[in-house]
Amino acid sequence: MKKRKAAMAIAAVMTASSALSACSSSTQQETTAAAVQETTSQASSEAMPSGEEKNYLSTFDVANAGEVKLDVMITSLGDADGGPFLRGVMEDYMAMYPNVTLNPVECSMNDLYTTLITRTTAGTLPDIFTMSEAYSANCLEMGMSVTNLPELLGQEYMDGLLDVAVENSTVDGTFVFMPWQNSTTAMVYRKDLYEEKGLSIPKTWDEFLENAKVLTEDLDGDGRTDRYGAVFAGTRNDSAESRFQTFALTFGCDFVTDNGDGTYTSGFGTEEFKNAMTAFVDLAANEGVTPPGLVETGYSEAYTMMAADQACMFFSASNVLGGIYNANPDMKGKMGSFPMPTVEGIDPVTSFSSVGMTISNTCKNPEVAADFLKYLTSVENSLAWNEATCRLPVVKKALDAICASDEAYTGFAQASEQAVIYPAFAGLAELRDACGECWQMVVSEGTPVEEAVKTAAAKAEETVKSYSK
Amino acid sequence: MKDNTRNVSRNRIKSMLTPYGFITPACLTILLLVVYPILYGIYISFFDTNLVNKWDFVGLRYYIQSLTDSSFLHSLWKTVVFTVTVVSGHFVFGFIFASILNMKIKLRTIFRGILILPWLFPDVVIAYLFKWILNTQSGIVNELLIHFGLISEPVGWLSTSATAFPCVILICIWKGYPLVMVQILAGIQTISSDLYEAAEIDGASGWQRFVYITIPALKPILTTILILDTVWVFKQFTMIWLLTAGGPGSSTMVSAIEIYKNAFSYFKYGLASAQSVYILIICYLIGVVFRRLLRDD
Repeated sequence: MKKRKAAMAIAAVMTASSALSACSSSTQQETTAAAVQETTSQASSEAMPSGEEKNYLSTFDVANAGEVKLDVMITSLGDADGGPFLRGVMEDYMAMYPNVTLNPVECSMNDLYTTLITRTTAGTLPDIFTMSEAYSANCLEMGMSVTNLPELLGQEYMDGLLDVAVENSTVDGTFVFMPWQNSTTAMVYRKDLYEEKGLSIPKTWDEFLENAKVLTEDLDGDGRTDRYGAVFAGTRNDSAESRFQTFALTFGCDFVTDNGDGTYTSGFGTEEFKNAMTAFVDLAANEGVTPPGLVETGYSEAYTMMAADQACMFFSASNVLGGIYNANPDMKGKMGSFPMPTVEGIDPVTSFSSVGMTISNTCKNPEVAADFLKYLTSVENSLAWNEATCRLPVVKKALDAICASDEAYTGFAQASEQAVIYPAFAGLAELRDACGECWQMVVSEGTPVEEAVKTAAAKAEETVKSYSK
Repeated sequence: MKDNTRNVSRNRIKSMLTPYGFITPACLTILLLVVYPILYGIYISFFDTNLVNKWDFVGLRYYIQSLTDSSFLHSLWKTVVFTVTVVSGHFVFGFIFASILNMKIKLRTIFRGILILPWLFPDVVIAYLFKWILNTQSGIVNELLIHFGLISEPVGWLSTSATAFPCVILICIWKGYPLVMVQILAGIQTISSDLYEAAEIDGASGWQRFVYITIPALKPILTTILILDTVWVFKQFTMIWLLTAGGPGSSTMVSAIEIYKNAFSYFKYGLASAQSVYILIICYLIGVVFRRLLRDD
């Protein structure tokens, strides 16, 4: 016990010193670090259960659980920024509980669902694995995860999560996965250029377009545009297609509505959808405010252009800031965020989605697995996770501390107040794909928007019908 | 006497069983790695399933659905066009380069090495290489064309329907011709030069020598390569997936990608399996038809 106390004290000192040294370059950053530090210690002391010397909400006696081995398959383990952090947390946990062995299992997000299916059929599911709302309905249907996750995590822990995140992780009344990353969508922009040009934050897409026109510039006078006002993702994959779903929300269009009787209605046949698709194609390809090659521009190309000073606005979750900073550290301090603009007459709105983890129903020590997950998402670790990846947490205290201390997240904080979640619809990937095909037909084949939308609406109709009971 | 008879029959049984002992490991491997997955795939095609705990028998529903599904039929048509053009390209370039390499030219060994290079690179490397070469914003093709004043605006080679499919076809031809070239070159080198000399004395032209000597002599090799290449190209997935993922729109959506999306994006394993069975039948028929057509009588 004494040894553990000493280790905790050393860890706390090291965390404090690393946080301070990382933020020693400017006064503002020092204030930020201090604020974060204060919030962390305050949150930690509040979170600490009486009689326990831990900085997270531990409710299980892990030390006396015997020899425990857990396979942990978290998709971020393979990331350049998140991977080392996660491995560090796992090592810290094993140092805290020498009777626990955590075995990291790498798997990319793109391969996650195929891997899960294969492992489920083979009966070799990892004890802890990544899960998101896109697959949570399938996860529940296949009985992959434990059904008593809220009990394992404890009421106090559950109360500390964002309500929208808990709702997002729940399918048919079952809490399927523990949310971890807060993927509220907002517009990331070049704050320094906005200030330089005297631009104000746009509330509508028309204002957004005006700003984008101002920001689109030929910097070296060779007759070719060097910096574009905005960049949109237009590849035919879930990353770009889910962004369009958020874009459509700002035009008042829901992709799919749960009728509550086991049937669903598609929103593709509505005027709002047509308006959203028309505006998207115009903004992203026809107005001259975005780089050419929309269909080839995916998430990584988009943030690379932002990092390379070739584009000024891009809507995404907060992790895009991490991508930009990694590609070009000089962008730190130049970036900001604001809530998604909407079309005239539509209230501010954005989408919330989350990636998290769940515990396999074949896990022999679900209590220990839950304890590790709580340690991983403690306030202190959530702040460190944000430091490493720019991802926002769903733990309220950590989220408040981050948003209060770094202006780049202000827009995300504001947007999260207007965030909505999509209904758990198993055919969502098909609906999104129909959208990707739709704008690609318009942009690359010259198909009129009306015709492409009609085709997409017919496909969507077929899809919702096939998933309705 | 009795012992002798017993020994003889024991030896006979032993010698009868020995060959089976030799082929058993190979047979087991084929059964486990080829026959079982095919049979399991066919089995899945009759179910609406998530492969874990949902197995609703649907009979031939997915087979019928596939035949009326415009996306699948469109992808099949694209696959046929893709296969015919790519295989033709492989043979045209394979023949041309094999004929050149068969000549006594300087630096022949170096040319052989260079011409076989595309075959040596993995599909992933080739796909990403061309993706950057043809990139709209910073690709070298657009840079050169703009530099020489041939175009004023960058062209989206892989993002425009009119150019994406031809580009994918050209890249696949470039990637695959060396195999055909090497096989043809090996075949040409086995043809006796006496035949060509005799034909020359008889006054046969170059074209006639090619049609009446080279082609018939290469027929066994050509048949094998044609069947293999056609089936390989028909199943092509990696290159197209990495270059365009079936887009833009559905302009490069071949059946392999359509099936992959149904299985691993939409989780419709039954439908994807039924479509795979169709592809299996088509590939088998390709082999049968080619063998019949090119039968050496």
